[in-house]
Amino acid sequence: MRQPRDFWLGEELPLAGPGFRPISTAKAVWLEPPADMGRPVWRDVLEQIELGPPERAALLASVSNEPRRTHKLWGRIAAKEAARRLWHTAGSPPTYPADLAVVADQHGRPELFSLASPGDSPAAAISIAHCDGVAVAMAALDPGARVGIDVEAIADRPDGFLASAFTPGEQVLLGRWSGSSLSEWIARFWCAKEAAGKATGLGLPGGPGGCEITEVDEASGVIKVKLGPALATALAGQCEVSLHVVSARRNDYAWAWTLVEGADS
Amino acid sequence: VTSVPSRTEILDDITALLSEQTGVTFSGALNEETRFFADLGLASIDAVVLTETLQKHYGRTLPFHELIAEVGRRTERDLSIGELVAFLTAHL
Repeated sequence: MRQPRDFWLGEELPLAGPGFRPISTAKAVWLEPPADMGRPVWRDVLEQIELGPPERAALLASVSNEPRRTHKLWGRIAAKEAARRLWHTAGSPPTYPADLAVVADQHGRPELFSLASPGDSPAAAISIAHCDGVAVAMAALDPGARVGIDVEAIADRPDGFLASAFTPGEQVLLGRWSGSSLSEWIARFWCAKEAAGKATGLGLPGGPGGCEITEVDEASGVIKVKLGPALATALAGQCEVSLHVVSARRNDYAWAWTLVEGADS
Repeated sequence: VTSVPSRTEILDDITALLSEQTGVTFSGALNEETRFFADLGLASIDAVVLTETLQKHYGRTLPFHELIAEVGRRTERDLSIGELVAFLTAHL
């Protein structure tokens, strides 16, 4: 951690899928530390190393739940690492994590700033997600790009969950699976909708009904997500009202990502 | 005739249902100021599960989309237990 050129805490995730040209301008990171690293002492050491004093103070002020504090820390580590991996690949000098800061905009969208150039525009576009035991993040070199990523545990959901989380059309699409496969695709669908919402910069402020899955390709994992009016407006001029989201399974988790390149790309 | 539960009873219901959902014993630890995301560490998918659990518990469909939309307009997208109690009080 004190040799940022040589050591990474996370693993790079593959970003590839039908509909996306080879991506060299974005990276995603999976961070799944041992459980001990999520508890006080080790977690606090990580906080000191990875966050600058103002960012650490802001994080502590925003959350009182210990596991959530850990996951938010891990998410920031993953986001900074995704950006640092991009800069490293581009041949830029090493950047220390604590010299970067993740700050939420007025809609809650995370932005990554370099403390070396305070007041400037974001240093990269980022998206962050976490669930129990895992954090993931995605970064794009172009701060004007829109990125969205999400991760969720594959688990049995209670009766009625489908009706609350998914539209009738989405429930029809999910009808092709059953048993453990259904649990996996429920998680993939959830992640796809969250990733699409995050890419708009607004999230899903009206709940999961803010966008709708209209197509899914089981072989590639690509899920087409149609944005509702509020979300589509946020991306006006940058993409169609539907986003292609790539989903995948990794161990007992599903994850999904999407990328809308900036107007200059 | 089914009586409308009091705020205290609703708070007790939420506490019990959350304990069942998360496997964490909250008895005495929750109050109306407690926030679902920042204090309890719930995720958005947990919130959907909770809304479904509450509807099943009270045996009726509740307009949670209105509450979710209201929370979504906030800068800090979080909800206190007191706000959920007030919502349930108004709709039960």
